[in-house]
Amino acid sequence: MELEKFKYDNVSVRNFAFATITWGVVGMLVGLTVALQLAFPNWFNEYLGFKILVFGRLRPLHTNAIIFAFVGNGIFTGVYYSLQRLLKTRMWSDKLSNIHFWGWQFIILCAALTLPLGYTQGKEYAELVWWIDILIALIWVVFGWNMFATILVRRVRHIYVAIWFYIATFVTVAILHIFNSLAIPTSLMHSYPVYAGVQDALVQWWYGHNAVAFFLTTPYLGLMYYFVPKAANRPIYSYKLSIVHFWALIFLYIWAGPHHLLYTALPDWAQSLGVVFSVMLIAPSWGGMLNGLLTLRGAWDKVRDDVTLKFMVVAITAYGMSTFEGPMLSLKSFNVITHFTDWIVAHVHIGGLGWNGMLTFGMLYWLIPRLYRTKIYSMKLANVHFWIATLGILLWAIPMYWAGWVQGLMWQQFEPTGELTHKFIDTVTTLHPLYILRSLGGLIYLTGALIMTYNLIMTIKKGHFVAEEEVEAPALTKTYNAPKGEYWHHQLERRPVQFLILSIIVVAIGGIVEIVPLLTVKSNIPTISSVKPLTPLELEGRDIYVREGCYVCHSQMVRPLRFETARYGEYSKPGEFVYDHPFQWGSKRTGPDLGREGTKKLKKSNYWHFNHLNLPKVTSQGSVMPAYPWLLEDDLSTEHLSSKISTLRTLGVPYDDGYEDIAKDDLSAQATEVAKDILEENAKINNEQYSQEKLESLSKKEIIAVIAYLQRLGTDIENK
Amino acid sequence: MRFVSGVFDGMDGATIYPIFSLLVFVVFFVLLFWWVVRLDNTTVEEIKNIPLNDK
Repeated sequence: MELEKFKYDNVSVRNFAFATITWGVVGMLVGLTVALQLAFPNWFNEYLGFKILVFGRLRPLHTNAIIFAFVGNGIFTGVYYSLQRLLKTRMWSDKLSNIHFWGWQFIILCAALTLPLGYTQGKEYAELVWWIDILIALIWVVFGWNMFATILVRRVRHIYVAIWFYIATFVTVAILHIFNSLAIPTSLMHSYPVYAGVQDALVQWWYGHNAVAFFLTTPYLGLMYYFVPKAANRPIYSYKLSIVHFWALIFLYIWAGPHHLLYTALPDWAQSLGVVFSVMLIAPSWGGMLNGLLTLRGAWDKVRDDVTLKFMVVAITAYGMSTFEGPMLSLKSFNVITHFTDWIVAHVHIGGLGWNGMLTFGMLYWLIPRLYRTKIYSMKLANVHFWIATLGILLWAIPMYWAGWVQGLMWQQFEPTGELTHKFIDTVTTLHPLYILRSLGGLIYLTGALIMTYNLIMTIKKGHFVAEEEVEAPALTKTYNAPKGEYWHHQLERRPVQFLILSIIVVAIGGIVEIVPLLTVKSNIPTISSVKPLTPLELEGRDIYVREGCYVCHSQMVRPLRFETARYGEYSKPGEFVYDHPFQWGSKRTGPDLGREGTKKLKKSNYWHFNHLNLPKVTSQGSVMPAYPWLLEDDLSTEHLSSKISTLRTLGVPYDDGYEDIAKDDLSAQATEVAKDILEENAKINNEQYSQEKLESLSKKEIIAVIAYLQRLGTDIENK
Repeated sequence: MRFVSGVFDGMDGATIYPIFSLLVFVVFFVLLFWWVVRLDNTTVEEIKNIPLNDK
C-alpha cells in the first residue's frame, strides 16, 4: 500500500503546553492568595484591602483560571498531540488551530481583567459576562470543527477510545455552556439569566456538576487512555472495559447534578434522582480508575524509574478517591454534615490538585522532551517535584477535611436545654489554624509547579524544537470490507458522525428528564403571594452583592433541618426565589447563611451593617470576612436601573409598565430613609450631629443599597 | 421536604417519568453489555494497540 508523507503540527501542541504552565502558575498563585486571605484576614484588610483583590472577586478568578486556563489548555495540549497521532493525520486546519489557541488565550485574558473588576454573572464557574460567554461558544466551536474535520480525513479506520472522550467533551460542554449561559444583557457588562430561583439553581448545578464531569474528567480520561499506555509502553488493560466506562460514564454523569442541592428548596424527586445516579456513578468511575492502574500490571517496576508514571499513578488514585467521595457526599446522611463546609473544598482539590494537576504534570514531563528531542534536564528535580506535590496535596486536603467535619458537627450541636451550642463565629475561629495549614499546603504545591517550570525551561534550552514532525502512513481505503459478524459498536467506531449524534442523545436523556418538567410545568414551583419583586434600591444592592461575590461565602438557603431553623429561622421555600435572577443559594458557608438576614430573628440595625461592612471585626470579633470600605466611598450608579427593570419585566418579574421611569425616585426616597437611620443611630451613640449635606452624600453611597437588600432578605414570608 | 413531594404527583402524566427513566436505564445497559460481550477479540487487540503504533 502506498505511503503518504505528511507532518504533525507540533507548534499548536507546544503553544498550548506553554499556556498550560503559565496559567497553571498564575491560577495557583491566585489560589494561594485567597487561601492566605482566609488565614490572615486582618493583614489583608490592613495592607491589601483593594477592591480588585477582595476574596469574593479573586476566588472566582482562581476557579476560572484553574478550570478553563490551566486544565483547559492542558486538555488542548493533550488533544492536539494525541489526536494527530491516533489518527495518523495532521490537524485539519492550521488556521483553525491558531484561532483556537489565540482565541482561548484572549478569553482567559478577558476573564482575568473582568473578574477582579467585579463584572460577573454570579453563577459559580459561569461567572464571565455575557459577551465572553459568546466568545467561549465561538472558540469552542472552532475547536470542535477542527477536531471533527481531522477525524473525518483520518488515516486510521478505528477511532481509539481517547477520541470518544474528546468527542463527548466537545458535545456536552457546548450544550451545558449554551443552556446555562442564556441571559438577557442590560448593558455591555451586565445581564440577568433567563432562569430564576429553583430553575436557575437546577440549570446551574446541572452545568456545574457536568463542568466537572465533561471539562475536568472526560477529556482527562481521554488523556489517561492515551498517555498512560504511551508512558508504560503497553496497551490499556482492557479495551472492553473502556467501552463500558465511556458509555456508562457519559450516560450517568448528566443526571447527578441535583446532589449539589440536597435538602434545598429543589423538589424531592429531582433530589432523589440526583442521589441515585450519583451512587451508580462509582461503577464506571472506578472501572476507569482500575483500567488505568491495571495497565501497569507487571510493569510496576517502571513506576519507580519513570517520573511520568509516578505522577499518573497518583493522579489516577486521586481520581479514584474523589469519585468515591462524590457518591458518598451525595448520600443525605453524609451530606447533611459536609454540605456548605470545607469538606467540599477539600473534595474538589483532590480532583484539581490530584487528578488534573498531577496528570498534567506527568503529561508535560513526557511531552516536552519529545517535542524538543531531548531528555528531561533534571530527573532529580522532577522527582523532587513529584514528592513535594504529593505532600502539598496531603497538607492541603487533610486540614480541610478536618475543618469540614468539625464545622459540620459544630453547626449541629445542641445543648440539653435545646439551644444551639455554638455561635457561627465560634466555628470560624476554630477553623482558623486549619486555614493556615491549608495555605502551607498550597504554597508547597505551587513551589513544585515552579520547580517544574524551571526544569522544563532548562529542558527546552538544551533541546531543539521539532515544529513539523515528518511521518508517513498509508491512506485510508475508500471501501472497507467489514469482517463477517461485526458488531455495531465497531461500525460505530468507524463512523464519527453517528457517534457524535449518539453521544448527544445519551447525554441529553438525563438532562431532558430532569429539566424539562421543571421548566415547562409552572405548578412545580408553588408561588407565594406575599413574595414581591425587590425595590429599585434593593435590586441595585443585590447586584452589588453579586458583584462582590458574597455568594462565594454566604448561602441563602435554610435547609429544613432542626439545627438550621434553630439558627436561621424558617426553612427556605421554592416560591421565595421566583424573582431571583440569578439565584444566590451559594455552595459554601465560610460565613453564615443570609437567606433570613432581614427577619426579626436575625435582624441587625442598619448602623450595625454599616459598621460591619466597613470593617467586619468591629462587630464580629474573629471574623475572616474582608472589609468593604469602598462601598462607603463609591456612589451608587443608577445608570442602568431602568434597563434592569425592563429586562426583569421581560423575564416575568411583575414590575408595572413604565415603572422604570419613576424607579429612581423610589430609590432615592428609600436610600434617604436608610441613610437617615444610620446617621441618627450614630448621633445617639457617638453624640455626633449630622448635617443635611452628610445625609445627602451618604444616601448616594453603594453601601446603602447593600444594606437595604440585606434587610429585605427573608422578610417576604414574615409579612404574609 | 414533604411540602413539595406532592407537587410532582399532581402533574398530569407525571407517573410516566419514573417508569420511562427506569426503562431507558435498563435498556441502555442491557444493550451496552450485549455489545461488549460479543466484541471480536482480534479487532479489540488491534484497536488497543493504536496508541503504541503511532509513529
